[in-house]
Amino acid sequence: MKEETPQEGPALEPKRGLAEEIMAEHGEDVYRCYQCLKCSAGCPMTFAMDYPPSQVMRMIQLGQEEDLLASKTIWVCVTCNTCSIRCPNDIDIALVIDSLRQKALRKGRHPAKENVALFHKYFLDNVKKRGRTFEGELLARYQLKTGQAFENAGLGLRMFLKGRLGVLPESVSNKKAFREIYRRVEERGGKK
Amino acid sequence: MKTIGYYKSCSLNASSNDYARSLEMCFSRLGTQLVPIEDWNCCGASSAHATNELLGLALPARNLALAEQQGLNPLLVPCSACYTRMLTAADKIRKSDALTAEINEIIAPLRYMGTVQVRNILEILWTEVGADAILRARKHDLGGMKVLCYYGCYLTRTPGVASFDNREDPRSMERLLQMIGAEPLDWPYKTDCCGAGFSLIDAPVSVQLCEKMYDMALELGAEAIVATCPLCQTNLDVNQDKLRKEKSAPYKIPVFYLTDLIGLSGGADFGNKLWRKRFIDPRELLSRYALA
Ligand code: SF4
Ligand code: SF4
Repeated sequence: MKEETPQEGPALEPKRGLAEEIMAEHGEDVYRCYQCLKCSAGCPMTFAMDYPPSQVMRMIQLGQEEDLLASKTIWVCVTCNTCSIRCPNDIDIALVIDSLRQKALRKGRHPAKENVALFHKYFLDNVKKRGRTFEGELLARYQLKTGQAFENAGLGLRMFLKGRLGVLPESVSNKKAFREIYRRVEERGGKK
Repeated sequence: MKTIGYYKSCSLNASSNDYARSLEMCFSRLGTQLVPIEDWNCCGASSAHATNELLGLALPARNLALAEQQGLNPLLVPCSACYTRMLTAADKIRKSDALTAEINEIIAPLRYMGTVQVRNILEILWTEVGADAILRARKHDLGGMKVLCYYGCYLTRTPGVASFDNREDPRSMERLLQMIGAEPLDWPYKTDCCGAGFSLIDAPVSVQLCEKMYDMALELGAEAIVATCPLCQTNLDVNQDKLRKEKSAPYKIPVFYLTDLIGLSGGADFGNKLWRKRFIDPRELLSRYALA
């Protein structure tokens, strides 16, 4: 019988999927998740999520990136850190979800919860202007844009009625120098 | 008088300036003066870390660099959301030379060497001010007022950093309140989430998270809830007001800051101006205990 000589095949490339990227960028090894579901059991926001945190971990392992970037979960997670401190495999799940949200923005994916994405954007614009938030301006801009009816308005209007929203903005001493921080962060694409 | 540095932060500077007043008056009763970081900036909580990792580290780092330069170490961060972001940034920068270098390029000409110890209010009261100072300052006894301690998410839950108290069942706030004569009750929601900034983005989410806490408070016969964070205090306070008006719910439980009660015990006279900022007016309760 003729012996098969091993064929010279193409060198095996190490796979670099979503999980590997998260590992490289944040040091979190999502492959450690063994689906004990402890994270999902304690998550206060599952009622508003399409995938609970344990499922997010599984989807990352399977590389289902687009589904995750389009999910509601990444926008309704409040980063309460309950999942992160309870995970028996020490995965910082909240950080992993942060990384997905950041990725969705970097890739320009449409946020499943537009109002949340908008709030974050307005908040950071507001800080960029003066180095400190000017709550009145931020909330007015947000409520006008999202068209929250007044009777539905949340904290913002109530705070206003209670006289708790300042009328004068405050700022850091050197606004121009402060904005340099934003510029340098943007230059680096927002990533470490 | 002893001094302690603190990060005043946006909410204490504006919508929750009643907390800044409560803190400063309480600490002065305890013989400590609070010194704010000069020229502090917003730490970005919670939008920066949520959307831009590097900004979420750089904004706290500027404050840390200023605190270091101004000799404010340890640094008290009273808002829990700010606390966890400042603590995370300090910890990550301390553990990585590469990150330290990168952050210093971003915040230049400021420079952070990584020395600042970020502390929350409970740690500062226990380790810097000292329980003995609270005992010595006592002028009024809280007369067995039944209170629920609310720690919320971030006092004990910063991933990767050891917690000063039990993560799931902290007791340090209860201990302090016992010292001034209050009666803290046990309850299962002390480290649950109030929705934090979501009360601004999507109010019903926060209302839903808080509602079960009020029901439990009523069931247990609690007279007040005690918080340490401006977001927690405001959410727990305003959501009751909302449910009362919209659903005629029976909730009317004052939500204090820990420093309100320690301050009152030490004889601080906060005056009506402070209590008027609260949605559920605590004055009736306070007068029942001869505290206002
Ligand atoms: S707690 Fe950890 S191991 Fe368990 S399902 Fe969640 S991520 Fe996986
Ligand atoms: S951090 Fe997000 S996913 Fe984790 S428990 Fe909290 S809300 Fe749920």
